[in-house]
Amino acid sequence: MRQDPGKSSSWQIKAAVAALSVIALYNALIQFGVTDQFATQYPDPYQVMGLQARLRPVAERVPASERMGYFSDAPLSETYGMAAFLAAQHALAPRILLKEDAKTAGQARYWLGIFTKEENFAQKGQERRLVMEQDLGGYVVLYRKPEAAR
Amino acid sequence: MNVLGWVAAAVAGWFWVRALLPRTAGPAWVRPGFEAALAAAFGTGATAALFFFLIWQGMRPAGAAWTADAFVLAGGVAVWFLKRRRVAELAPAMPARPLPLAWLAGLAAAGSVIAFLGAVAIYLRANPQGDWDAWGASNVRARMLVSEGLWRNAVSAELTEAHPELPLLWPSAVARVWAQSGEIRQTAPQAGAFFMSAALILGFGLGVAWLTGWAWGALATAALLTATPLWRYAAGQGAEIPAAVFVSAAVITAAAAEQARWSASGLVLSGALAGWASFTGNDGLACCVALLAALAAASRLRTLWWLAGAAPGLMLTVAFHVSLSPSRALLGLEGFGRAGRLGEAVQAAAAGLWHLGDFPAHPLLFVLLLMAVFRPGRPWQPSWPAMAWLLMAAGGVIVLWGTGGSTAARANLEGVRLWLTSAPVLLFTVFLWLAQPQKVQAVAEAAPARPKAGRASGAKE
Repeated sequence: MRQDPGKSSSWQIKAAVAALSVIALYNALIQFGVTDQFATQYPDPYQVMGLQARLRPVAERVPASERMGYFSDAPLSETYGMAAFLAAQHALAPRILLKEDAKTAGQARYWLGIFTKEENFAQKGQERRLVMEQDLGGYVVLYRKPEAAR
Repeated sequence: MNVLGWVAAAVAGWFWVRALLPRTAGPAWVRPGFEAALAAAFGTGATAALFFFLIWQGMRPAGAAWTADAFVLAGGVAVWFLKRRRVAELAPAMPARPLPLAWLAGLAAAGSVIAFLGAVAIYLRANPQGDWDAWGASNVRARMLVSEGLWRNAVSAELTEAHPELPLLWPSAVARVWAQSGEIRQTAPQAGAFFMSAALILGFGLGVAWLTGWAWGALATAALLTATPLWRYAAGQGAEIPAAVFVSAAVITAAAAEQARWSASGLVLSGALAGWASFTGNDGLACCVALLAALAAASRLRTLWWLAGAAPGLMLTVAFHVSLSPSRALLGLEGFGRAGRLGEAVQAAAAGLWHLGDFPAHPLLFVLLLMAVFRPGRPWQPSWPAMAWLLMAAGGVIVLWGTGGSTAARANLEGVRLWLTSAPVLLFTVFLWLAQPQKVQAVAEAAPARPKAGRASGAKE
């Protein structure tokens, strides 16, 4: 008997459903494995939660309504530089973190410095007329303007 | 309370869904699950939108959170009480086209859903902060919304890298839970991401099952989970998955309304879900407009019911963009001025479509193969969801054209997001076509229950 060209035969339909089901299930298992592997190998790849814990003293000291200045030796044009800035913003919210070149950054009384290597942190602050308030460890430093109340 | 807040929103939303969702003739055991998924979407959207509105009106975060819940719950109970005997009824539908090897599709769906939810849980546990867009923008703005007197920081032009111009439904949803719990803990966005991921998959799968039968719902669920970006974004805690939940729920609910002779209450529910999508992100707004246009063409004046449902979300979105957003232009007009940018947007959309799956597990490949073997009879009905999907895709490209990222990588990311939101709509449309009941006869001819002995003996037919 000739196959009607407008209709698929039973075995074609069954084969398609079987193939799609098996592929979908196999793909799900692969995706599960990939997710599990990635999550195990790269938990918190940008150290967002780590920075949040490190910045807790800042969040306790600086009023929530403050705008804080931010500078770093990690350029914001690079992914790691932007990640550091955004992670700091996340940890310090609801305070707004202002980049060094922002129009209103000059009004900020407290500043955060994040560095990628050991440096003379106090001097880095003095270059910007800032006083080093606290070295938070991990190359993270809190500064203040000299006139800011302690 | 960081988890219970999401449950409370779903409970408040359940009464609305129970009252407004038309009673079509799907499998009875599917409906409660579908209602639960819809309730999670509706309740989350309604309480978050009202929470934000009340904060905007000067209420304190904790008061706004509890008031929003109370209003949504009371309103839902009232509507449910008034409509409890007047829900649109539908005559029993024709049986959907049978699906061979349904047990295998069911196995694939069950395995895929378990793997998916397991992967989401594992990723959330290892990465409590979520993905870049969550800790870089969404959750940052949520922390501002929940801080008394400082919510306007979330829309400050000084918040340069956290997208203060984007609408605030998802940050409001997270902030509402924080406000109720009285503390900012990462558990809230983690639980929210998990609930929304579950609502997307279960709402989609059970929605297809409800309208076409469990076998088609199972195969559709397995097909949707071949979209690999879904796995990546589900645990990311960003606004992409909630937007996809609202959009797919709005389309499925509208299809149910159509089966109930364009039920007014069903259209109101669909509109409300689309309205929450519009306040979730620009792509959600594009999807909302696309669905409006498609429904206007199909249901004519009945679309007014849909608009009535969408009005709260849409009005909040418009008010946000007019009064609060630091960027008055919804789309960057400078982007439209460059013809080359359109090419980049189309290229990003094409790349996004390509990366929607890992071949051979690709939703588009599944769609093409299923259409090729099942050959649903023309005209493919209903056609309005396809029109909605095409308009969503076009709208997404326009949004990409106007707001697309400054780098190729960013543009490609946006391209993937475009399909993430609209892929469930495409799959839902195709599965409605595949399960068309008028083809029952054709399938019966294609798959006759022949006696095996006849074949083995080589008997002529």
